[in-house]
Parts: sequence; C-alpha cells; structure tokens
Amino acid sequence: MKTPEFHINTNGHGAAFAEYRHLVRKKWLAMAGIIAVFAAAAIGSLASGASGVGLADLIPAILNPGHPAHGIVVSLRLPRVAMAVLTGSGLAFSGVVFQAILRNPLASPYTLGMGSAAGFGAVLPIIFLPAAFARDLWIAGGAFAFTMISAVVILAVTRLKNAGSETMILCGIALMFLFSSLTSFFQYMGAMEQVSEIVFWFFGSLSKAGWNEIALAAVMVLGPFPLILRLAPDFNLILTGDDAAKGLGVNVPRLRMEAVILASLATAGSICFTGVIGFVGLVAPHIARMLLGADHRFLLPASALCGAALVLIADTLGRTVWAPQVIPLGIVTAFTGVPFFFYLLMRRKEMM
Amino acid sequence: MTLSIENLTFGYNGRAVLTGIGFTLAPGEIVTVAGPNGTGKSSLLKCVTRINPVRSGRITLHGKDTRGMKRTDLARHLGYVPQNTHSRFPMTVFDTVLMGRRPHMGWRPSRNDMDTVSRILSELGLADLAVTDFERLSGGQKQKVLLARALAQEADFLILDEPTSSLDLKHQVEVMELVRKLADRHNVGVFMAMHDLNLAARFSDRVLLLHRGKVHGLGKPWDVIHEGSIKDVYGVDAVIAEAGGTRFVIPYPGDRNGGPV
Amino acid sequence: MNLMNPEKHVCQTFQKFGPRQGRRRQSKIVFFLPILLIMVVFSQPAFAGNRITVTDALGRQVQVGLPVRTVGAMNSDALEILRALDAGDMVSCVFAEIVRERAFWGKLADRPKLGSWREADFEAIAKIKPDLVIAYERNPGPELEKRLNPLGIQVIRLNFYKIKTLNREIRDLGRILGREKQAAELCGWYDRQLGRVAGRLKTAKHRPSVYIESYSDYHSTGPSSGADEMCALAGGRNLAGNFSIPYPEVSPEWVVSQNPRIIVKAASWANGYEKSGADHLGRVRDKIMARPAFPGIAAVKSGRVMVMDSSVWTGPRAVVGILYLARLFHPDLFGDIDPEKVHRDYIELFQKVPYGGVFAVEGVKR
Repeated sequence: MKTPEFHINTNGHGAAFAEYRHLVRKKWLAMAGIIAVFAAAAIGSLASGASGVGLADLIPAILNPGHPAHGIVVSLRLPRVAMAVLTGSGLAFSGVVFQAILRNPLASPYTLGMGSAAGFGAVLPIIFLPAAFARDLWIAGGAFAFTMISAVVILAVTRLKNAGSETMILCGIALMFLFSSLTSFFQYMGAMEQVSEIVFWFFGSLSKAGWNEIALAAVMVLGPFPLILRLAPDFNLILTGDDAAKGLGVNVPRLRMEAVILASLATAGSICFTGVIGFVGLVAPHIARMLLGADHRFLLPASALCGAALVLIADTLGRTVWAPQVIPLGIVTAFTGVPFFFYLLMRRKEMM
Repeated sequence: MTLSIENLTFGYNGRAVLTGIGFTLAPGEIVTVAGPNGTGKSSLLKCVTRINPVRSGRITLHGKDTRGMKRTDLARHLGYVPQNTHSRFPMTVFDTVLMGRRPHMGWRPSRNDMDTVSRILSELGLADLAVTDFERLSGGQKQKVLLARALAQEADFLILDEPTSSLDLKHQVEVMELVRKLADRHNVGVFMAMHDLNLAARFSDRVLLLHRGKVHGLGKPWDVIHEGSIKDVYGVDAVIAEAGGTRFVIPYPGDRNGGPV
Repeated sequence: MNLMNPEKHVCQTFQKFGPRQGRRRQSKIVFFLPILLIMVVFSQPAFAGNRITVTDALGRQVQVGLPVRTVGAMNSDALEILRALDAGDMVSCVFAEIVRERAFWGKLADRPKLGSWREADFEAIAKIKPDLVIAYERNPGPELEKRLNPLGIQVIRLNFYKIKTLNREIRDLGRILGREKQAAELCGWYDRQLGRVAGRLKTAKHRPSVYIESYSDYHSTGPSSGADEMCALAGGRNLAGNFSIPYPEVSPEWVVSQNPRIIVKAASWANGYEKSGADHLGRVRDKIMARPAFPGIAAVKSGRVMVMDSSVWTGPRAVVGILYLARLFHPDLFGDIDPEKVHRDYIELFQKVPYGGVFAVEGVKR
C-alpha cells in the first residue's frame, strides 16, 4: 500500500488538517508569548540593581564605554544575565530530555542524582584544597566531573542490565542518596567555615561567574542543544513506550545513551559555576508543556526559554525585594516557580 | 511480497520461550496467533518486529533478511501496535498519528506527511478528534488511533498485539472490521495476537495456535481450532457449536458427563 | 537529606566564623584509669562538694559542681582558652578536628577524641568521663546535656568568640578550674590591647567604609556577627552593619556601588600557623582585586584590601585581628603598632608555643 487510495469524504480530511494547523498556530503564539516574557525578564534584570542604573541608561551605558554606568552594566549585569540564561535553559531542556526518556513527569537532572553528584564534586575541593591555586576552578571542575560520573554510572547500569526507565530512575535515586550522604560526611569532617561554604554552594549564585566561566558554560549548554533538538521527533515517539518507539524505527538504547550524555553535559555546564539551582529543571518543562503541549520540537526551545526566564526573574527578585541583602537564587527559584506552577496546574486539570 | 519466519527461536535468562516457529504472511492476509497466557504470543510479535533479539532463525521480508536492516527501514515495512499504549504527557491525536510518519520524514513533517495523516484520520472516522488529547479518548478510539498511526507508516505488514483487549463487544467488532478492511482493500498483511478464539476465527484467514512456545497448529481457523486442540492447549473442555452459519467455541466446566448446556 | 534543607544548616553553622578543628580517635584509657578512679571515689561532682553559679553563653544561670579536675573541649576556642589558663593538663579529651593543626596543639592533639565540634560522640565521652564538657552555645545541640548529665558529666556552654562576653567567660572558667590568677592575667592583657585601640580611636576623624566578606564570595557579615564587632572596635564602618541578618549574601553590584574604602576578607581554612609564606592569602587577595568592576573601587585602587587567616578572625585571638584592622583603617593612628608582635606575645605568653605563621596580607596601591 505504498500509495493508498482511500475513497473518502474529503471535507473531513481537510477539517482535521485545518484544526491541526490552527493548533500549531496557537503553539507559535504561545512561543511568541514565552519569548516576550523571556525578553522582558532579561531586560528587567539588566535594568535593576543596587546601583540604581535603570532602563533609561541601559542603551547608552552599553554602547558608550565612557558612560559612568558602563562598568556596572557590561561587567556586572550582562554576565549575570548571560549566566542566568545558560543555567536556566540548560537545566530546563535537560529536564525535558530526562522526562521524555524516562517517561516520568517527576524526572529532572536532580532526580537522576546529578545535583547531589555535582554538589559532592564541589565539596571535595572545598574540604581538601582549602588554600589551593585556582580553587574556584577546582570546585567547578569537581562539580562537572561528578555530574558526568553519575551519568556514566547510570548508563553503565542500564547497558549492563539492558534495562529501561525504571532502572534508570532507581539508579539515579540511589546515586542521589549516596552522594548526599558522602557530602554530609565531608561536611561533618569540615571546619565551620568550610561547612558554611558548602551550604552556600548548594544555595546557588550567579555572582561567581565571569566571562571565562560563561564561555565554558556556553560550550557545555549551547553545544548539546542543537543535537538534542535534532532528536526531538524521537523523544515524541518514546513517550508512547519503548516498544512502540522501536516499532516506529527508533534505536531506543542509542537514543537513551545520546540523550543522557548530552543532557548531563548541559546539566554539568549549568550548575558547575553556579551551584545547585533546584526546581528549574523540573518545573520549566511542565510550564512549557502546559502552554504548548508535548511535541518536543516546540517543547525543547520553549522550556529552555521558560527556564531562562524563571532564573532571570528569580535572580532579579532575589536581588531587589530584600535589597541590599540578596536572597540566594536556589531559594527564590522555588519561591517564584511553585506558585506559578500551581496556578497552571489548577487551570489545566487534564495535564498529566 | 511476503513476510516469512523460519525456525525462529527466542528465550531469555536461559529459558526458551519460543522454539522452531515458522510461517509465512502474504499481503492482504490476516494471520492470528492464539494460545494461553504466557505461551509467547507477545514475544513472537516482538521477535517478528525485531524488538526482541532473535537467537536463531530467519525473518525475511521480500526474501531479504531483516537482521541487516536498519530499524527505520524495517519500520517502513512493518507497522507495530503494542498492547496498552499510553502516554504520561499530552499528545494530540494528530500528533500521535503523525508519529507513524517518522520512518519517512525528516525533522519537520512535509505537506505530504500532513496530508497522509489527515487522509487516514478521515478514513477511520477520527477527523473530529484530530486535536483531542490521546489520553482523553475511549479505549476503542485509542485503538483506532494506534491503527491509524501504524497505517501512516505505510507499511506492508501490520503487527498487532491484542488489538481488541479491554474493548467492549461493539468496539471489538468495529476494530476487527477495520482491520479486515485494511487487509482487503489495501492489501496489508496482518499478523496479530488475540485471545478471543471466536473473534480470531471470524476475521482471520489463518490461525497459528501456540502451545508452550511451539506451533501446535497452523491453518484455516476451524481446521486449527477444535475440541482436541483446545483441550491440548488450554486444558479446557469445549464444544464447537454452530449458529446462523457461523461456528463458535463454547467452553464448559470440566465435568465430562454434564456436557454442554 | 541534609542538602534539601540548607537553612537548617545555616542557623546551626553560624554561631561564629572562625575556629579550626580535626579528627581521629585514640584510646588512652589505661593512662586515664587512675583519674577515673579518683573521680569516682572522691568527687561525684553533681551531688557532692561546692557549687558555683555562672552565666553561660545562652544567658542561663548554671550551677557547676566542684571540684572540676578533668575537662573535655568540644572546640578549638575552648581549648585555646584552657591552654591560656594553664589548664592544658586538665584536658582529658578534645574535638576530633584537632589533628589538622598538630603543629599548634602539640601533644594535646593526641588526647582521646570526644566527637566533632558539632556532633558529640557520647559513648566516647561516657568512657572518658570528664568532669566538665565545654561546648559552643548551639553546637552540639541540647542532646549534649540530656545525654551527659545523667552520667554525672556536667556541660557548660561558653563561646569564647564574642569580644563582649569573652572576659566574663574567661573569669567564670577561671573560677571553675581554680585558675583565677591566670584568668585575671589573660583578661588584663585583652583589656590593655582593646583599651589601647579604643584610646587612639578617640582622636579618629572618620570611620572608613568597609566591605567585609566571609569565606564564600559575596557573603558579607552583618549585625551580631563576630566580624561586625571586630570592625566596629577597629574603627571601621561595616557596610553591611545595618542589614537585617548576620550573614547576608550581597550582589557584586551593591559592593561596587557602595565603593568601600577598605575590603576585608576571611581566608577559608588556611592554617596560617603552619604557613611560612603568604602565597595562599595573596592569591585570595589578587582574585578579589581582579573581580569584574572591582578595579574601580576605592579600596582596590588604594590597595587597602586585606585577607585574614581565620585564626585571628573572631575567636580568642580576635584582638590580634582587630589590631590588623585598626592599622589598615587608620594608618595615621596605628602606624607604630605591630600586630604581629602582639600576636607573638600572646602565643608565647599564653599558649606557650613558638610563634610562627602568616595571618594577614594586604594589597598594594595600583
């Protein structure tokens, strides 16, 4: 039946297509809305801060190196916004990927133990290299290395046992507990000032990242993105089950492997310079999914933008609502994300 | 243009599930595999689609061994509908059926892909549901959408795992009539697993009765399904009755002297 | 799942910023057996003998039964004061982290361990059975008293890191241990140093603005923190001094826009006593001075950026830190003061170990 010749009531066929086209148009509209919110969040973040440089001064301050606010906007606010975008988008689209390949709405980079692993990787240099050269890089490197180690362990277990999503989730939870307890152990060993450093690392902060760190994070976050986006149709297929996806031509084990490697890389890039910023990787995918559905060709870019906007808004609020004190980012992301998430949950009951 | 299975053997954890299975499926033909629970029906279907790794034996498509084929290529020839498909995430009916175009399309569906999906939806009377969430459909509608997806693959053969399970009487018949129509009108070969012997006999060209991973009988439905084979395979006493020109299997409690009601 | 609840840690953690600790357990029970016997026969401190009443770090009136012959030190601040009171021999057990600073503590590092500074090993303490255990006001938690009191082991909570209460706590401990004379000497020494600073500051015309950063980047110290107290006593104006919380995070932009005249940072656990060079502190200083937009800050331009080892940053030796700060804040008034010499006096006079190490480093003018 290569060229099926259905004898059909043609008006019906047109109707389905038209309805679907209408739906796709609505998705583009939602996407435009997300982009607008993202842009507003970015500009808002650029235009707020302790020095009082506002919206009006923004453009001249960026363009004119002689402007008094040039240093503030270009050296302090721009890198902050850049890091927020990278972290938020990286965590969000890795969250989408993990939720898809595990077919589990509760999945996120942290459900797979990566946050705990990264934290442990950061704790090691804090405890053992208290006065080392380039200590911050050691901390970031430790976080990166252990994120990837957790990914490799999960992949190895799933390959060895030829196992599916449940095994991966259980494996991730096991890793989470392992690394959490290891962190607690080293925290227990640590002196007071080291314990405080560990606690603050787990809060997350965008202040630590300069342009060099941002460049590295950009490679790790933006590099995998097109490769992940290329797999979007396969993520759609895997939602209806491994067997169905295989029947539709997807090499499921390979897809899982590629997805885990790419998403872990993006996760590592997102958190190694900023610390554990919880919740974004879990909630941004859901927000995007509620706004424009589960088609990953839309969902991946949309949730990346949602995640970026969420972190931007959280950081701006964290810097302004209780100024001059800063509310740590990891706390504000949850504060801002949860109510919005609840609102959407109430509005769209059919979700999940 | 045939799908042929030769001497297929499959097992896991050292336990043989299927041994020495062989049959051929021609275009336009419906072959139903029946047998008790746990006898390897689903495994056989997954072996044929190469979802399960085949230990030994050959599966050939138009004389070509499927072992060397890429999964995408295979998907252009074999459409597979697993049992109990459900998604944790919202996907519309149109999107679900569009998945069937995956073996043919690139990243972005072409106009032709969209047209094919629309056409199939209309053909199956699903056009009104195009933008409904898959998870909000009834069981019968879901099964039809999954058939539509398999059709969108434009495959030569459909492999269906229990297409009527968990459907009510009306929808069982509806789905089976649809399958029969696809085979007759579009010359699609169908290989499916099914529990209901009456339904299988009524809509299939041939029945493969599976017993403990081996072929117990293969042939025209009523040549394979009879009191003896039912007793052998299911361990149940039954009679074959006739009403309105059609035969039926009627099982009855194991008391031989009581006889059928 | 500690990590899920970081706030919990913060309140437990931030009693102070300062001491340095260690680990490992060694049983020298044979050595202490005579002491145990003496204790059982003669003392029963909770029920017999004299009692004195002292105010502990939580402001409670606590009765301590006498005599106290053996003491357990839960943290380095307590141990440092014990040694300064000539009571090192009475210390029967020490905090586990002590082994990290063997050079400073010498033979004390080999004493049996009673757990870490915030988590007591009750079984070990029960075995050693000191007459008195000294702990911080909040670490370990109230379970310490709950578990040890029934065993006849008394617990007293003394901080030894708040300058305001330091002398009172020292005098109380002196009374408990019968070391009143040594306590008076130590308090006198503190008073002289602080009095000298306060006296000179009377003529100060201004209090320079100071950005204080604790161990983590962009985490400052606000009201009721040890560093805020030090800054005030050294004649500086802590920019975060009027904040709402003791250990706030701040944004880089806030620091830059405040344009502090001076920046002071605590170096994370650096073990200054064992260091012969200042490289480790210098690296921290260079990193601060090179932070984005920091080169425009007055403090960085003038090189008035100081990185300080945690051993003089609050704690019993905060007075040394104050001298470093006072000289940095008011070079005109304190130009002749040598904090290192004062530190040397303290170490040799009260701690009775050779002086050594590097404890602070300053920037240079650009």
